[in-house]
Amino acid sequence: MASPHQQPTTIENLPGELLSEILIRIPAKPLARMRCVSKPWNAVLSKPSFIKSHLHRSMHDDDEILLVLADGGLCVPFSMTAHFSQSPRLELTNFIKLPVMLSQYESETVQFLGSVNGLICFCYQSDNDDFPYHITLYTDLVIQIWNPSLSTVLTLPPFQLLPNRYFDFTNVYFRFGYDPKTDDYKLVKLMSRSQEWLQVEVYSLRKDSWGLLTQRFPSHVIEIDNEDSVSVDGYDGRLHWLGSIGKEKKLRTIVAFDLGMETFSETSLPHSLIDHNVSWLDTLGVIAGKLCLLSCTENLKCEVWVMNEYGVAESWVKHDLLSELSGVIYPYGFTLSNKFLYVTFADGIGMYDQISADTKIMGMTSLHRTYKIVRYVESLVWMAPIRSSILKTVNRVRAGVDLQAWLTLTLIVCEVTWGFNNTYRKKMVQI
Amino acid sequence: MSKKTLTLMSKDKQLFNIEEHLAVQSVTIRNMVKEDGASSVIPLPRVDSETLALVIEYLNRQQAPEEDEDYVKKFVDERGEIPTLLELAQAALDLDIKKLMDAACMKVADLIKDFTLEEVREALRIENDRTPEEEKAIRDEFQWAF
Repeated sequence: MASPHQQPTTIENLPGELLSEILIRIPAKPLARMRCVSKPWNAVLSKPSFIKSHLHRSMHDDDEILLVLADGGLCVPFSMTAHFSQSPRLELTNFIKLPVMLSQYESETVQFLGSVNGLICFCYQSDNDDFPYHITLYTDLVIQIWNPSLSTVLTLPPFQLLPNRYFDFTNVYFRFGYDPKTDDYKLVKLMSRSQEWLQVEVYSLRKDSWGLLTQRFPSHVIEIDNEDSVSVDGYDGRLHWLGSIGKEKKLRTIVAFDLGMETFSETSLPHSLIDHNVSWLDTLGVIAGKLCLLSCTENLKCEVWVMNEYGVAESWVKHDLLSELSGVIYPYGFTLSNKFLYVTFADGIGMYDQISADTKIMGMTSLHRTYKIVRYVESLVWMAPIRSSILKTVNRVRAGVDLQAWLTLTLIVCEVTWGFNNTYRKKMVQI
Repeated sequence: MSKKTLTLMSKDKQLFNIEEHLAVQSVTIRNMVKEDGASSVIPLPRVDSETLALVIEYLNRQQAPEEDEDYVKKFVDERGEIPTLLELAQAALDLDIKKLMDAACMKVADLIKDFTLEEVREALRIENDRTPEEEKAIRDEFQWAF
């Protein structure tokens, strides 16, 4: 069976399909570098279809890695740890380096806004020596989208609508999501003052700008639960809030935001739960691609309701998924691989796999901190927005004076380079 | 009744015999057999004989299903040369033998992921098609990834 000497294979004369099959198995960061190998490689690696396939592969990898982001408590810095879901007690050391800004800022000023497809959105208060950190000055708020697998970060431009004065009881809610139809990542900003919803602003990564919507948040919804602890919402291009109606807040509804159409709509809760007492433990989630409601009854038993047909109130079905778990649990939601995450006082964060009926304890909980759990996903999304310098304008305000009267446009010249030389420089030039 | 045997013919016209029930692990061959059951020789004009010999060795393995994953990993590990792995991956892709294709591509990916640009080009015999100016421009753009 000996064969005559043959020309060694070169990948160029192999079809692009093989090249894709190999490249798709390489992590994001080395792939970013490999765009420099040759023009055909750059073409393959910048194709939206390749980026999507790479993401899909990473999301369906069996070796799931979960990132636990802990808000800071008093004197405790913001932290992030990585864990294999197979052995969640063990922390993967040196897995991800936090952006310099996150590790240097006082923890309580850092807020996690959401995560989708491997991108993490957070905000923090930029330096302002005149105010203590716990006072939120939305004018000094820096919002960023971070891709941990590429170690890149994008600073969002400033939004338009600001709370009028410092202490006017304005609530600002942010949520981050992905719209598959337009292949765009969006950050939604809701603002309410004295139980009235103000205009909604939406940031689009594709446009890299904020836009104002004409439609407002449903006015009869008095209060919303903006928790998104597991951050799997938004996969079907919609964000969801659990809202309470009327002054007594007894009736409840689900408000949905379509990220593509940029419209709000409402869906009814299961009939038996509409006027059931609002529990702070109730939470929305996604299981196997379907919207679900984790509802905790008075005796603190958790029920899982799944909406089988999206938008159809009659299609809610109660699932007896969590009967194995006993005791008082605080439900977080379901991971992308449908594992149930919860917190107990005794064990901290736990993870329950319904298929194997297996419970794993992640531990590490402190009553003073809030934890968000997101799946680590290798992502080539937003490969190259970091040029050697990015010009961003930011609203900055003179301290102590009415905000809008003193809007000062400031040019921030950001130069962000991470990875090997790990430097972050920010120069401010006032105009 | 004796087991049915198929004959596969490589690009360089060498003939290989394999039992049909083993050969149909390849979805491509399975479809050919279904469409044209009586065909005596199946030509594989893109697979050279060295690679086809490897593919046949893989298809003939006598592994318990639970050991199969480890076997295919070891099988490609033993053929650590990139040109061989590329030929094997291409043949597995053409013949639609998923596990073998997965393992061979994964092995190549693992080998090249930490290579420098020059090493990638050398290992895969890729010509740098950029002028020095273009090369500098794109390296500057992706400088953060190095």
